[in-house]
Formats: sequence, structure tokens, C-alpha cells
Amino acid sequence: MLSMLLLPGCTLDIPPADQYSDPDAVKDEKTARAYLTGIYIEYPHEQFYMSILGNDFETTPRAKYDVSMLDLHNHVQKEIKSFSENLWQEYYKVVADCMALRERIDLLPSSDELSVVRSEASAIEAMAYFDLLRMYAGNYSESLESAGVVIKTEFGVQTLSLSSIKECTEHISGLLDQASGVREKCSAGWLSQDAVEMMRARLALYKGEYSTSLAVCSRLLDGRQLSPGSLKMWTLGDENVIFAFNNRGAYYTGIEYSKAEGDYFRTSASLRPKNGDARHESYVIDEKFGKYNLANKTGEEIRYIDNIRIQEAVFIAAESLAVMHRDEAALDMLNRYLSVCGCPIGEKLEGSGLVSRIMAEKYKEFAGEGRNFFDLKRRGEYGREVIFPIPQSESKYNPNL
Amino acid sequence: MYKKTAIFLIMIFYFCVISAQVGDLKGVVLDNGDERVVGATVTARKGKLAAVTDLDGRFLLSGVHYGDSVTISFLGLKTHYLLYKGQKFVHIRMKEDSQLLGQVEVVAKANINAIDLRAKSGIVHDVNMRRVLEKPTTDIAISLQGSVPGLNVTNTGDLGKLPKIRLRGNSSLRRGDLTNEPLYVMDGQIIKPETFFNLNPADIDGIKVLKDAAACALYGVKAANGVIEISSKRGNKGVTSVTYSMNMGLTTRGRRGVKMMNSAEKLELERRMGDPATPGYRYSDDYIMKHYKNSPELEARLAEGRMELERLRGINTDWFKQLVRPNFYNRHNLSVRGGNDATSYFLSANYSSQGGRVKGNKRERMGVRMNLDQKLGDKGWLMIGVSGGSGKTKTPNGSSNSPTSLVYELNPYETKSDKLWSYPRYKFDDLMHQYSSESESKDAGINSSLTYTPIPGLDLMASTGLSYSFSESSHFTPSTAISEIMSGVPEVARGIFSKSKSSTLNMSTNVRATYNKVFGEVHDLTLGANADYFLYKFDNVSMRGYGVGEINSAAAINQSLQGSRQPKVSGPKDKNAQLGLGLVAGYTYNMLYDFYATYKADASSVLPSDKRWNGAWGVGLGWNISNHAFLKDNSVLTELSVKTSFGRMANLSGVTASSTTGTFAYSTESYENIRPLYMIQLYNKDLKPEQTESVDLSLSAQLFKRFNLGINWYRRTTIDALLDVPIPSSSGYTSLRRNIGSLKNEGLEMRLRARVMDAAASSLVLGASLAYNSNKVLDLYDGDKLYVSPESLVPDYEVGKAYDVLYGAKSLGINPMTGYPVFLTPDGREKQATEKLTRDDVQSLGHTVPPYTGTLNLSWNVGNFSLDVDFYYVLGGVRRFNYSYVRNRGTVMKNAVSGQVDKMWFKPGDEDKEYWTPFFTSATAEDNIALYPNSRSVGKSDYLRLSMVSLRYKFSRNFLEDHLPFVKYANIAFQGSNLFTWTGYKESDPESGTLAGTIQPVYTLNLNITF
Repeated sequence: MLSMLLLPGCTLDIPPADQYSDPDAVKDEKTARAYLTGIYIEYPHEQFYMSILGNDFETTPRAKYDVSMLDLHNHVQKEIKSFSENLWQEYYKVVADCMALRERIDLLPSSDELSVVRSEASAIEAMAYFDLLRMYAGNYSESLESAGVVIKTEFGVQTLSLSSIKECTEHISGLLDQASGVREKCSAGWLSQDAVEMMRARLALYKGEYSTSLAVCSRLLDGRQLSPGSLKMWTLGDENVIFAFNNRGAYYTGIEYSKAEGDYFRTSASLRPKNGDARHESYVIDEKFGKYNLANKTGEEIRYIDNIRIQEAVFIAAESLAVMHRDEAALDMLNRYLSVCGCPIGEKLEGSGLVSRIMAEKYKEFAGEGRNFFDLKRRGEYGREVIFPIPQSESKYNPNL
Repeated sequence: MYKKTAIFLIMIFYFCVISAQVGDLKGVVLDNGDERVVGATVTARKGKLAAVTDLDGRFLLSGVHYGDSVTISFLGLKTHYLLYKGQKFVHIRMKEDSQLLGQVEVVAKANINAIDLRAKSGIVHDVNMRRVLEKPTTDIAISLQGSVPGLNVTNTGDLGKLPKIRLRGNSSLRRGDLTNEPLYVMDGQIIKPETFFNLNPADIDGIKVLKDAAACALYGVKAANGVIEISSKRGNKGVTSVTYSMNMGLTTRGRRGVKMMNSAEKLELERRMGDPATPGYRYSDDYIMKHYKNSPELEARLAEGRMELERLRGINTDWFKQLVRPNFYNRHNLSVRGGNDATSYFLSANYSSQGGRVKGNKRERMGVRMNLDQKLGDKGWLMIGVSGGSGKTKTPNGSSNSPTSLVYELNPYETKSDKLWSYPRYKFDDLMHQYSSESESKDAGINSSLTYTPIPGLDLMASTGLSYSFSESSHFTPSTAISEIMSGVPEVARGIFSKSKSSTLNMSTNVRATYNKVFGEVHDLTLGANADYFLYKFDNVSMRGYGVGEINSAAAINQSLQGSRQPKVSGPKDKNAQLGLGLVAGYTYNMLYDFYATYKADASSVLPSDKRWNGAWGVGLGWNISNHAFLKDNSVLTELSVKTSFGRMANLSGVTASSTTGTFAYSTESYENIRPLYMIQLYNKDLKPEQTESVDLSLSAQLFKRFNLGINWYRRTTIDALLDVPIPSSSGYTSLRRNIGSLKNEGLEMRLRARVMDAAASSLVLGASLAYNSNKVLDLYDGDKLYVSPESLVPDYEVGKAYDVLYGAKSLGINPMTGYPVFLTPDGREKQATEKLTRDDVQSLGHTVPPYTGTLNLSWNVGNFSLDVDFYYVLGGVRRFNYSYVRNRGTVMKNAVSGQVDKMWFKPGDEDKEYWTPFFTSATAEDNIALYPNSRSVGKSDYLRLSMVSLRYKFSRNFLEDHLPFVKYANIAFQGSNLFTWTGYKESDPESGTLAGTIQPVYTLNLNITF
């Protein structure tokens, strides 16, 4: 009889504990921002391994203790394959979440903050696709019709064939256009107007549209005071930083073999700033520690992982000018930054010599930040062995590949 | 007149004599299945004389008068009446009671769904509780091994580890307990498997195993893997009895598993391998000649080396005996049972403990139970049950770096006091205390039910109950453990402590109405309806911290650590509910034909509201052929019946809100001071529960009232089977839970019992059972083969193949030239192990789940002695050797399996060897051997186990009356469980696959006294 009384009180509408199911999960500005925050957190940070692949490092005597890192440094096919296997999924996870977030925002009544969140999601998605394209596809200059990466059209399981490089870049452009609603100014951890602009400049440079990349960078540099890169970009974020991923503590720990014996790798000799260079003061301490490992040695927390800083605009602009044979302007542009660092180029350079010098300075500026590899690949310094193979987790289960 | 008077006087005299004739009635009470009924009440003279049957079903009723009516009653069985005519010994066979509604027997059935009508056409098997009780072990689940054909219980490891329980195989493509374990129901309440494992066998009146759809359908969506129904003991009216039972005994070391080398062979192996870190090479002539060839010390060195080797050869430590030890076993049980027509009760308290094979390992269990039945007026009954218990397992020396693995690693020439060669830099004492773990589970339960019979035939019942389980476990790895020292983390971060506490609440509520009516004496109709609601709540708090050093406490966690050794806290919660509505109809014609149909609709809170309801149904037919007139009094074929059933059920386990709809949770991190939400998993909006369809056919027969035979055949097909299927990773995820295909389990179960001899003073019953199960993937919606991992060489699921197949290459043996195996491909080519194996080179090597299991048993009673013996066997499976005791150049400092020196390939030309080269010369070959089994690296996992022996002596009535008049019954027994295992499997344990997990033999002395 007791249970007869109890039965009508039985309900099946029980929300999962500690969890939020649609449509109660992403239901307002706050929860949409929270989901977006999750996407920022899951964005892969492979700066260390991309630096191993690039020209950033030379080996130390400890390098032999980790054969797989050494093989990656030497571009051994098997190692590149195993390194790239999971990265694909990590980037596509970002893409999937951006799509899922936009899907949910579109069901909510519109508001300013929601359109900001939606724009940021498009910007991160563009960033993810651009990374994927630069890793898993050949160069833009080779053939526009050659295979790029998979461009998703909706959230969920799809078996799509690879889009061409051209289609991929168009898609990224489209996403960047959708990203125009991001905030003009915000703290370094969120994507701002300047960050989206810089992504446009990178894309234009990748496509070889030098006048566009020059125009975008000039706009970015307009009225800006430049200062030499400093270690603060890891800890606090300095004034040069346009966008950096917020990070929790550990970063770049993989480079260390042991506290007592030291690291597996060190910055290549040619990329180390010389005495008298302001960046030397900032980056090199005791001729032993560099910008990427100092924090770990001193136990300082790395709170930001730099992704976009204004210095890059200088180098993109300079390279674009030089390629367009505006040698003098290119050198001026480069010196605009190098003189701040205290090491302007006095000699007159032109043609390919100038481009090489600009690139060498760029490699030096960004050593260890995982970007040199992409520039080297774009400029045809490597063979096809550095194009990451499409992982088995995709090819085995996608009949259209 | 005289004549008349004389006759009258004679008659009076005669009647006086007769009525004055008083005697003792002895007898044995058996049930339908020839099992002895324990605890049946035997009364005469309106209850003035009473007795209760003992463990052998025997009773003695003293002072019975000629012509007295003797009543034998037992819950759930038809009351038996007998006229006393001076019989010395009677056999009473009590029948299952399915008709007598409204009486105590039916009322006392607290399992609300236990409508007996189910058993008419469904497959319901009773566990023989008497045999289960004869097995001394603290784990009730382990003691169920072999109790019912088709119920497979597999020990998975060390003492206290939950065994794997399956009814008729896996019904899901998903492996693991969550999706394949049967449902446990105690007195109508759904309980957790852990609660079941902690039950006291002595409190259990009966266990029913429900196998087919007709029997299970009323449990609906939870019952696709079968149901184990447990009913607790309840009070009986009339006689108050107090029973105390005690077991004290020993556990022994058990099977050695692998024979290891003696010192001489080990030193020779080391010499051949040539590792200077081993004494066998270091002190050998080879080594000394190489290093001191031209030295003046050569002779002295050689002599010194030979002397040292001689000394080491003289030491032969048997590490098995040093590390694995006998232990103690204890069990105490006290129960009180009694009552009158209106009130009856059962109270019990118990304690048991079992020591492990390794020092310090122990499992303890204690519990109390109280059941009270109260009559309410003329038409109602109230039943209340309260129980509480706790089970505790201590593993101070657990599975990682466990002393049981040291048995196979330490060298015979090493001792407890010397420096070890097998663990350089350590001594024996340093290897102890590597790990410790403790787990405890506390259970409390309360259930009550009310029965009301307003008019004869209509039975209304409501029951509700809570089962609460609180479990905690902690694990500790001290900073001094080898794993921690070798981990490379700084000293301040060494030492791991983790602790987890969780509470689970299961609440069941059930309302039922049943109506039974017999028309025209031959039509027996039963109709019923029920509604139930089930609520599940789970709450967990866990933490894991580092840097505790040597302190086994959360207080010592170093909270300043960052990175991977940062302290972690988590607290998953879950809550879900199910609502069910059921209908049942049964019809019996003239005791000849039975028909049964049931329908259950279930709704679950984890599914989206628009597809919440799932149906389950079952129909059954039974034909009791022996009730036909032409067979009625046939003395050969005394019983014959056939049953068939068909039904369909849904299985929802493993389906949660997050798998069907976008579900988010807050992560434990933050980004720019904002807490992120993340999507828990990729969801599938089209997800449906799996559907399980089963067909059953069974026959039971009895010949000469002595031989019983039961055969069941079944086929269970799972449609829309769920599986986490790999998907293109461009979706951002690598797998998605989907309805992917269908599979089939088919099998045969047989039971044979023969009452070979049955006399007043002695009886002999022999029994045997066999269960066979085969499974097959019938369909995969996306193709013929499914590879769960992109790197797999062999498909995990393949249409037309069983899903427990072990794939590997067929080996032709070791190539005398390379030292690596040569494989024979399915198309007849020879392939060297030094070439990479491909998908075309592998074939089936056998089933990992043995398809055949069964028992052989014997019960022999002679006078006051009774002997029971059970054997359990497992046939037809294969298990891969892990070869971890075969050493190569890199591992030769540890002891090796005996015979390795002769069986291993060392140099080109070595023929007919079993083990490949110890010198790593081909990475491809090493991969081929390590990643995939081959026909010579697997063995048959068949075994035969002496699972129970019990020799019991019952003190005679006269003895008790003379010496212990206050004792009603007393008996003493020698009992043993899992005493020996015979197997051809040459490596480790054929059941669990580990050496540490060999099931432990227990020998005890048992004393049982009823006051």
C-alpha cells in the first residue's frame, strides 16, 4: 500500500548529475563562452615537436637517449607517421567542437556576446584548418588541385574525401570572414581583431598573395611601438603578444633529459642571438639556458603559449616586399625591428640574398616556437617526406580516401 | 450376548493396544528434483510433536501414536500428509506448490516477481544450496561455480577479486561485466553485484537462476543477461530452533603452476647467455679465460670461480615455499528461527575470514539479517527484512611487484639474507612492501512487503525496499617501491596514495495483483499485472596524491606538486530511474498443458523522452506428458515433460544520456579565469537499445523414479548489438557507440541425476552436468569485418565467426638456422618469422572462452556418515602462454622455467627446440612473436577441479539424548573446497591466466549444532 502511494511520485525526468544535456547545456552567453573556453583548452600545442622537426635545434650528447625524438629530428618517415597519427584527431576535435558550438548558438536568441563567441569559434576553426593544411598537405604553389585535408560540412560522422588545397584555403578565408565579429581588444588569451588579421596575413603569405599579406601587416604595424621579444611572453604575456594560449604550468618539459644532466636539444648555433642583441640579454642566461627551457629550470610557471605576436608582421611584410622586389623597403621594414633589438643590418642586400637574410632573421626570432618548420616547408627547403601522412585512424575507416 | 461382549471387549482391548502403540518415525524429505529438503517442519498431534529436517533432509519424530496424522510442511512446497502406521523409515517427496495461493507458503515469497507459473514453461534452475554451503569459501560467487549448467563463474585473480559471472555467454558485442552480467535480485530488491558477493550463504534459502525470455521478461530491460534471484531464509511456525555453525581450517598454497630451475640448471643457462651481471657467467671458465687469459692470476681466478659456482649450486631455495604460505580460514554462523501461526522470524549473524596465499592478504565478511513475517487479520501478511553486512579485503602485497611474482623471479641460488643477483642493488627485504591496498564494502538493506487477499484467488501485493552499499578502497605505493625509485620523479614527489569512497542506493518499489481461478476442475487460469519503479543513485569521491613517502595516508600528500603528479580529486555522480508495467497470463489445462505469456514495458530516464519506452515479452508452452492417463502409473517412465519458450528483451546497459544526446560537463581546469564546459562524448541520436531474442526448448524425464534427466537447448540472438565502432578521426572522435550488428549464442545444457541406491540406512546419488555454448557474429551492418584498432592484424569481429576466437599464425617450430619460428600460412606457404606477418597469414587457433563446462558429483549416505564430492570441469578453450618465465639475454638475471636450457635455441644447428633465440637478432621476428600468438605459444586451458569434498558425521539421537540433551541435532564435517586442479596447461593458471590468481584450496572442520 505504501508503494502504491509512492508510485505516482516516480519520475523519469532525471537530469544527469553533474552533467548538462541539450538543450540545457549551451543555453546562454555564459555557457556558450564556457564551451568556447573548452575549445581553447583542447587546442593542440606541439611547439616543441614542430621545433624538433624544424631547424630550431641541434642535438646535445643526450639526444641519443631518446631515439624517437632523434628520428623525428632526422625526418625519419616512420617517426613522422607515428607523431602525426594522433595530431590529426586533436585538430579535428577542435573543428568538431567549433561546429557544435555554432550549431547551438544559432538556436539561441542573438546577442552581442553570442556573436562574439560565434566569431571566435570560427577563428579557432580557421586556425585549426590552417595548421592541418600546412602539416598534412603539400605546398600551395605546387598544384592548387592537389589534395588538401578533409573539410567538414557538419558536426558528427562523415566520410568525406580530401578537398583540394584551393578549396581548403577558400574555406579558411570564409571562416576568417565569419570571424570578423571578434572583440577589438581583449586579453591575450582570446582571439581579437588583430589576431584574425594576422591569420589573414599568414594565409595570404601561404598562398603567395604578397600584396595582401603586405597590406594586412602594414595595417597591423601602423602606429605600433616595437620592442624585442622577451621571456615575459611565456609568463605574463608582453605587449608584443597578440594572441597566446593560456596554459597551466608545465610546458616544454619534454626537452629535458634530466635536471642534472641537461636537455636533449639546444638552439641551433646559427639561431642564437649574439652578444649585444637585446634578445640575447632576454633569452640567454649563462650561455646555457634559452627562452624555451629557462622557466622549467627555474621552476617558473609558463602561463602563456605564444601563438601570434606583432614581430611576425614585420617579417611577413619584409618577406612580401622582398619577393615583390621592393628591396629597400624590405630592408627598412626588417631594420625597423632589428634596430630595436640593437642589431640592424648595415649592409645593402638585394634579391635572393635579402630574402634569405629575412628568413634567417625570422628563424632566429621564432626559434623554438614551432613556426620555422612551416616556413621552411613553404619555401621548399624540404622534400615530400615532411608532408604528414593521412593517419590510419582516418584512412582505414573512411571509404572515400 | 457373551459373544457380543467378548467381541466388544476384544475390540476395546485391541484399540487400546493399538492406540497405545507409540513409536519413532524416521524419514527423509526430498523435493521434486530429489534434493534433500533442509528445514522442513514435521509435526504430529496438533503440533505437540515437532521436528525439523536436518542438513541431510532427515528427521526423527519421537512418540508418534499409531493413526496419527503427520504433517510435513516447507515454504514453497505442497504440504505433505502421512498416516503413521508404524513405519520405521519413510521417504517423503514434496511437490512444488504452484496452486495454493493465500497460504503461508506463497505469502512468504518475498520475490514479488516470483510467480511460480513462470517455471511451468520458462527455464528456471534452482541452485542446490546444500552443496553451496558445503563449500568453505568466503566468496559466495566462487562457490556457485558449477552449481547450475550455463552459469559460468570464472575466478579472475587473487582473493577478494570479483569473479566473472556469465549466464549462457556474452549477449553483447561489448565485453566486460557492465554489459554482460546477470541481474541480481534479493527478496524482490535489485542489488549490486558487490552486495551479492558479500551475502552470507547460510542466510540464503534459495537461489533461482532464470535463463530464458519467458522467465526473465518480467524484469524487462535489465534482464537480457538472465537473472539470479535470491530469497533469504524466513521464520517457520512451531518450533524455535537455534543453530550454530562453525568452520575452522586452513588454506594451502595451491598449484605451483610452473616448475622453475634449480641452481645448477640456472647457472648453466646464465653461462650460455653470457651476461656478466649473472654469477653463472661471471664465475665461469669462459668469462675468466676471456678476461685473464694472459694474466698470472688465471689459475687462481679459475679455481676461485669454480669454488663460487660450486657453493651457489649447493643452495637451492624453493621460493614458492618461502613466499606462498598456508593461511587460516574461519566461519561462524548463528541463527534463530521460529514463530507461531501469526508471527514468524529468522535472525542470523555471521563472521568469516579467509587468509590469502601471500602474507598479510586477507578477506573478512560479517553480517546480520532479520526477517519478520506478521499475519494481519485473516487476509493479509506483512513481511519485513533488514540486513547489514560488510566485506573487507586487505592486500598489503598486491598485484604489482607481488611476492607471488617474485616466486618466479628470484634465483634458487639466492637467499633471504644475501645480496640479490635478480634485483641488483637490492636485498630480499627491500622487495617487500611494494604496494598495499584495502577495500571494504558495507551493505545495508531493508525491504517490506504487504500481501492482501480480499477474495480467494485474488492476491494483491506491494513491496518496497532499499539496498544501500557503501564501498571504499585505498591504494598505496610507498616511495621506497622499486617502481617509484625507477620512475625518475624527484624524491619529494615519490609515493602514491589514492582513495575512493562511493555509495550506491538502489530503491525498488513494486505493486502486483494476481488472480487465480480454477474452472470446471480442469481449467486453471492466472492473470496478473504489476508496476515497478527502480531508482539508482551513485555518488563517488576519489582522490589521488603523490609525494606521500612511506606514509600510507592522505594527510601525507604533497599538495605543492605540479604537472602529472599534481593531486587529483574527482567525484562522479549518477542517478537514473526506470518505470515498468507488466502483464502476465497463465493457463493450465488438466495439469497437462501449460501456457504462459508476459509483457513488460519499461521506460528509462537515460533515454530521451520521445524514445523512452521499450517492450519485452515472452511466451511459453509446457506439456506434462506423464500426467496423461496412459502414462499415469507407468513404472518405467515416471515423469516426462517438455517446455518451449520464445521471447524478446531489450538491453540498455552502457547507454547513458551522453551517448544519445549532446551532454556536457565542467572540466577541472580553467582558462583565463573561466571554467570550461566540454562535451563528454560524441552522441548518437539514433541509438536504440540492443534487442535480445531467445528460443528455448527443454525436456525433463524421470525413469524408475530414480534417474532424472534434463536437457535444454537455447538460441539467443542479439539484434542491433551496441558497440563503440571506430569512425574516421576527422569527426574529432575515434569511436561512436552504434547499433552495429547481430550475434547469436547457442547452446545445450544437460543435467543427469541417478539415485543409484536408496535405502533406510544408505543412499547414493550420482550427478553430472554439461553446458555447451557457442557464439557467432551473424551480421555487421557496415561490412564483413570490423577492426576496432586501425593497426590490428586480425578483425575483432567477423561475420560468421565466433567473437572469442584467438587468431595467430600456425607455427612449424623453430628454424634451426635463424632461431626464430617458421610459420605455415593458410595457403600452404612457409613464412619465416623474420618477415612481417600480414592479415592473410593468421588463422583461428581456438576459443578463448571455453565452450564446455560442467560438473560431476556424488552424494553418499551410510548410517550417520554422508560424503559429498563435486568436480568441476572446463573444456575446449585455449589460452596464450605469456612466456614471461622463459628468459632471454636481457632478462636472464631472473630465474627461468625448468628445462629451458634444453628446449631453447642457442646456436645455428640446434634442432627441435621449443623456445626461440634469446639473442635479439630480428626486430620483426620479435614483434611477430610478441604481438601475436602462434599455434605453439598457446595451450589448451582444459582443467578438472576437485571443487568440493565434504565428509559429515551426524551424532545419533541416542548419543545426544544421553550426553547433550539440550541439542536437537549435531554434526561434524571435514570440508574442502577447490582442493586440486588437474590440467594439461603448462603455464600459469588455466582459469585466471595469472600465477598470482590461482584459486586457493581450503580445508576445514565444520561443526553444526541446532538447539
